Amino acid sequence: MTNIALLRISFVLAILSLLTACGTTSNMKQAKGAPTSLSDYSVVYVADFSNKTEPKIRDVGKLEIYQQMVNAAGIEFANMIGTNIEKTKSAPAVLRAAPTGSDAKVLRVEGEITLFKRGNAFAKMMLPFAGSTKFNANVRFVDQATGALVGEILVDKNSSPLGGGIAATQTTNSFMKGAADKIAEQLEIARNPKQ
Amino acid sequence: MKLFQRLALFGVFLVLLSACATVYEKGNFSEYQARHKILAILPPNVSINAESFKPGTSPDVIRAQENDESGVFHRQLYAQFLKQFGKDKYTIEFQDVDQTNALLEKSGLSALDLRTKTRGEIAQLLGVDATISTRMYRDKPMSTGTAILSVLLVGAAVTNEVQINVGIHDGKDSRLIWNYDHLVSGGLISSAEGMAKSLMGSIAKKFPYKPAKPKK
Repeated sequence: MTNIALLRISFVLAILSLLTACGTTSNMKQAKGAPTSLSDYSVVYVADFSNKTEPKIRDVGKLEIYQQMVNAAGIEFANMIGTNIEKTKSAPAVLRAAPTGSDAKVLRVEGEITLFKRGNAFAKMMLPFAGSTKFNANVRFVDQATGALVGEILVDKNSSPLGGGIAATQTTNSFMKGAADKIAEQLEIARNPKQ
Repeated sequence: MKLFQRLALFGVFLVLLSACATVYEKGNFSEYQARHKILAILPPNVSINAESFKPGTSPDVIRAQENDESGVFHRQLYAQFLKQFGKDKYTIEFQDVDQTNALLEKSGLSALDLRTKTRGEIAQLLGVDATISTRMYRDKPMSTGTAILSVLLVGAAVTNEVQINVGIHDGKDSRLIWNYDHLVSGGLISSAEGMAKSLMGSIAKKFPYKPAKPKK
């Protein structure tokens, strides 16, 4: 096989790796009857994400560590979403705990982590389909006063199944960061819909 | 051999790639800078991946370690800021961390309780113009054994990872006006503590509130 052929194969593999990597964070799906613009909400309260994973870990000690890790991820994911919302152009006031005694209209961002697999960086680098990292979460936008659902976003991220260098750098942390970016961006769009 | 050299280079490139800081600054930052005189550094929120501990470590032990490190980083950050302040690098002053901690304790506010307050409320309570909040996350993505194997095969390994996020919030409107986000990965000979310390220095250098340069 010539060097050019090898180069072509590497290029195609790299493109395939990029295409199959990362998974998706959906656009915000607005709930039926929800207002078309969320601009009335001047305060956004980002709640910690709960742990709704169903790990198949038999060892009690390992299971406990896993649960602690996902619980911590639920807090950090909410922190990331909060910070990213604060960075948007027309940022609302952001709180990380339920507001008390506020007259402002509050939008609550909440949800749960449904799949959390750290994977194995070394295995991902060396072998395809091995040690993959996965992060899934449901994100809901809820009116704090009435409890009515306003919108939803689905996060479904996974590392490249082809492995290699790109897959090795994909972590649950990088997936949470990417998803938090998109969630803040979607909220910004929903708060400022095109006239 | 050439293939190994290339892989090694690629490994180094990946480590460098993952060590980029993101800085956000609000468009009208200079307006905030003009009216800010004193800032308080809030106790850092430290989180350590539970997998970094020996199996069976209780959540209480992990929380205690996180609290200890929070105290250490709080002082280190203050010291780094003072060092730059001493060189006239900033236009603002920093509230002594002991005073900040005492005022928070007096108000019965733990690190968790801080989340129930807006940044404006916290700034008012501390008597400052803005607050600096820090989140730090520590992880050990690879065991030492795997790291050695990785170094032998591809020339690089990540045994320590420290992610830091620093934000400045205005005391009046509670808005985020500056944010620094940095993930640093360290190899076999790195220590999480050493990486955190070097990050503190990097934050102090990137920190805004620099005096305007005199026009020539």
